[in-house]
Amino acid sequence: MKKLIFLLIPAIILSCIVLLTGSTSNLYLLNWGEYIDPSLITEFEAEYNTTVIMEEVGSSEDMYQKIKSDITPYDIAIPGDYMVERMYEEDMLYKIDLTSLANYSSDMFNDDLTNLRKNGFFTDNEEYCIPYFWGAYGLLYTTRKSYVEEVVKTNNWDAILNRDVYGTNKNDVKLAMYSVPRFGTTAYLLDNNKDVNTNKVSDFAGLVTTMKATNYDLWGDDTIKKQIAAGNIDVGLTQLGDFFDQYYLSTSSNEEVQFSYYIPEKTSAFFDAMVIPKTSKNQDLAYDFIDFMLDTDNSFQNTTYVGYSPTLKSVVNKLKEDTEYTDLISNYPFYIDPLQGKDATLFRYIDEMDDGTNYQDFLQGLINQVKA
Amino acid sequence: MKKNKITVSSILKGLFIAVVIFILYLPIIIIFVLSIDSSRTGNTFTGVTFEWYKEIFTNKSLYMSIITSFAVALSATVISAFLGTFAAIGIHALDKKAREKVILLNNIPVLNAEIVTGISVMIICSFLIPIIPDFFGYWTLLIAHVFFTMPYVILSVIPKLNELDPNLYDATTDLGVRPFKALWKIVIPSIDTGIVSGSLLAFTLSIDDFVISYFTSGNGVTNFSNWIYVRLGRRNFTPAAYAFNSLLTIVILLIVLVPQFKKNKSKKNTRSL
Amino acid sequence: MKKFKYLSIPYIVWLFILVVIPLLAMVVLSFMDSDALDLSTAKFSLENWKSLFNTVYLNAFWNSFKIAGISTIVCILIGYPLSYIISTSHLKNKFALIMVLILPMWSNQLLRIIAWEKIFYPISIINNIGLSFDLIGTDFAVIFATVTMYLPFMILPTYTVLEKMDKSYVEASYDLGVSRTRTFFKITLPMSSKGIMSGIIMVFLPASTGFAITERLGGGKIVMIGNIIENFFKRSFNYNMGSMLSLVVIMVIMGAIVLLSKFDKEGETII
Repeated sequence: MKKLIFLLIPAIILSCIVLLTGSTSNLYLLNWGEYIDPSLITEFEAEYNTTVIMEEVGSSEDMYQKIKSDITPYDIAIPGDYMVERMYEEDMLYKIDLTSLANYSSDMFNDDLTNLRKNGFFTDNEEYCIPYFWGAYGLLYTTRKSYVEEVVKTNNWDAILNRDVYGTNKNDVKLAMYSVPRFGTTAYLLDNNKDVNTNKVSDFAGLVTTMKATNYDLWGDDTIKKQIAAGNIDVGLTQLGDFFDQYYLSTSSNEEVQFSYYIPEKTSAFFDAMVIPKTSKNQDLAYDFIDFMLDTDNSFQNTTYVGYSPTLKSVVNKLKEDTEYTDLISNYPFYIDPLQGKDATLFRYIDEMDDGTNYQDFLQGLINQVKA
Repeated sequence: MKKNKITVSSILKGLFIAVVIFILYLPIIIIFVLSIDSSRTGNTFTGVTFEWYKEIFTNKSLYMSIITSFAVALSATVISAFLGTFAAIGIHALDKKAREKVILLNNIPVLNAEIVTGISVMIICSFLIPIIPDFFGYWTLLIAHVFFTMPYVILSVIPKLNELDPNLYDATTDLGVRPFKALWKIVIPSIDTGIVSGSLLAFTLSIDDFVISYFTSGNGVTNFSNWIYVRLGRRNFTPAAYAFNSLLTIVILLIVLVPQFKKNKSKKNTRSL
Repeated sequence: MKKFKYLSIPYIVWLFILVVIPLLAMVVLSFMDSDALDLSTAKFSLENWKSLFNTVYLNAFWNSFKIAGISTIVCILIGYPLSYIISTSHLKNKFALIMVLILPMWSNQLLRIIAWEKIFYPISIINNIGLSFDLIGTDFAVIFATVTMYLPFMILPTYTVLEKMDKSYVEASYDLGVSRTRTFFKITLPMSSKGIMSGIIMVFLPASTGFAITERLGGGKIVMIGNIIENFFKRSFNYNMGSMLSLVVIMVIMGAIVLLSKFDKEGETII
């Protein structure tokens, strides 16, 4: 027992360290892991004489749960498109006064994205979210096995749903699928010409049989891009940004980049956006942050660090003019122009299937059946 | 003193222990290799470097999460050990029926899936938010850790209390010693081993927890496990995490093994005298 | 000592707030159809419990108990003999040895899981020393990793019990001419059964309700009840189904413990 009292001293010292590292002016930021350049945060803190307390999560759902639980007074959150819609519908967001944003102008964002938001997203969304990064869904594939590239480009989504398209290599090729139910089921819907935002149970009719037959080698989230880079998986469904993220990682580790990316003819587009949740206690600082991130130089710095496609036209132009990125852009034009004229839709928030079941539960149930 | 014979059976036994130790330490060895690998992805070995060790001290979010983990684990262990021991004494003194019911409740956090424990504590704590706005963070983390470790302390101490000779306490008080002094000077030292093993368990469970911590932290406070979990596939997961882990393992191994070598040396010396 | 009853009161209150209330809340939620915790739109429903016998859930329960069960048995088969050998040996540094065996537990479990990933994926850093295994997604990989993660939890209680055991019974048995094997089965094993029970609980529980090991080493292909509960609480926010399944888990495990404790007359066993 006496030994335990001994432990009390370091316990108290360490606890004090944790408790006393706080400050008076704080910006609470809820973000994805590795989704902002840390030096930008330091710059923001210096410029506005504040401390940024950032919490990181791995999914939009986590973000929703954290905001809903009302535990931390987040000033800015960066959820994904359909989650923005959900938060809007559940009245969790403050309307953004666009006139207060010095750096904002309505035509500052990529035209494709602006069109998608005007025609395929909820009305008034311009006043509730400011785009951060965007992209499309596609297939990340290895270049270690020479047969893979052609099969992927010829067969589009079938390349991840039907092993037969690989012919004699059907048992050699390693396929991976996203374990987030929404993304996992999207490939099937796109392949069968269904609306990615359908809530009709009948549209999913053949999904379990098809995907069960595929017999995926791996189900995961971030594991997919890591293992494709490592060479353990050959083809996987991922977001466009995952490609560049892994590309930067491999090049900085002096590893050869032995993978590439293909966006099928019909795909889903996505964007993440800055929102001001109603938990915010410091809206002025929140506006400062958005303004800061809309500054071309800051956004450029962020883009080249994170690897996802920039939403600002000014940043795209800057990339085109920067000789350092000329090779990257010519090899991978979808970096600055994700859709390249292809047919795409945004994910909308869907609550229920047409038979009353919860949408998420329904999709998760399908995936569980595939895995069983 | 019996001389130790080297028999076939003792060689086999030694081999068995060695193999088990090897397999248990395999992941630790790999973590060590990854901590000196200059490749950030850890896919191949591209060269030796100690930059990740340096990063432990420069990466603020990393070292803050480490400090938080230790602060919570140490504090929770001490608190659970203290409160748990007294609670155990109290429970031991109850009538059989009441005792069984309380122990049943006590076991629920042990039996529950961690995610359920985490959410339960989060929900109960969130009722206090209107009163204490910044409640979540270090305090809720501490409460949650004390909550899920105390049952283990109690479960370690109660069997020791059962083994205790009841007359010991009565004799002490008969001799005029006051109840609490008797408790402190006589009872607690006799159940020492139970308190120690319970505390060991508490610390082990607390230092490694990520599920319960995920739900009960907030306001930017995060522990080491959560720091890793969020960064698992991302680029800001640095091998500095491996470096810290290896450092910790090496330090503890030294703390455990060095006294043993000293002990053996001094024994040898006394024998040869 | 009886007068110390009152010391237990604060703890009972604490348990009431943090255990009983959430438990009751879970029972209530399991019989409802609500939008997370928003009870204003909730309605009574037996649908959750009815869906319990859905093949997906039964499959998940089976996977969990199979993997946790096998892992636990392996842990007993390796851990108990190990504890026995060490406690009956004449080593001077017994406790240090046990500490060395426990030490890996203080390494972060997520990092250890990553290390196992490196071992079980065919292309990884271990290729540098000429090794390659292709075991991700197999039950073997998950069980192997689970055993290494939780073996120390079996070693600690069994060693503690064996070490504190009154050796005079064993010696008396030898003196009476009883063989070593028979002594072991008739005396040592029953006397140390409490330790094994604790070990079983410390291994089986986290192994069956956890999700991290299967998610990463099972290649996401093996669905355990922990994964399903996690999905309900963190993805679809369906607290009704999450509560229902969690209650089932608690009931099954409690049932198993009650059964096992029939073998242990002294009761109140965990550690």
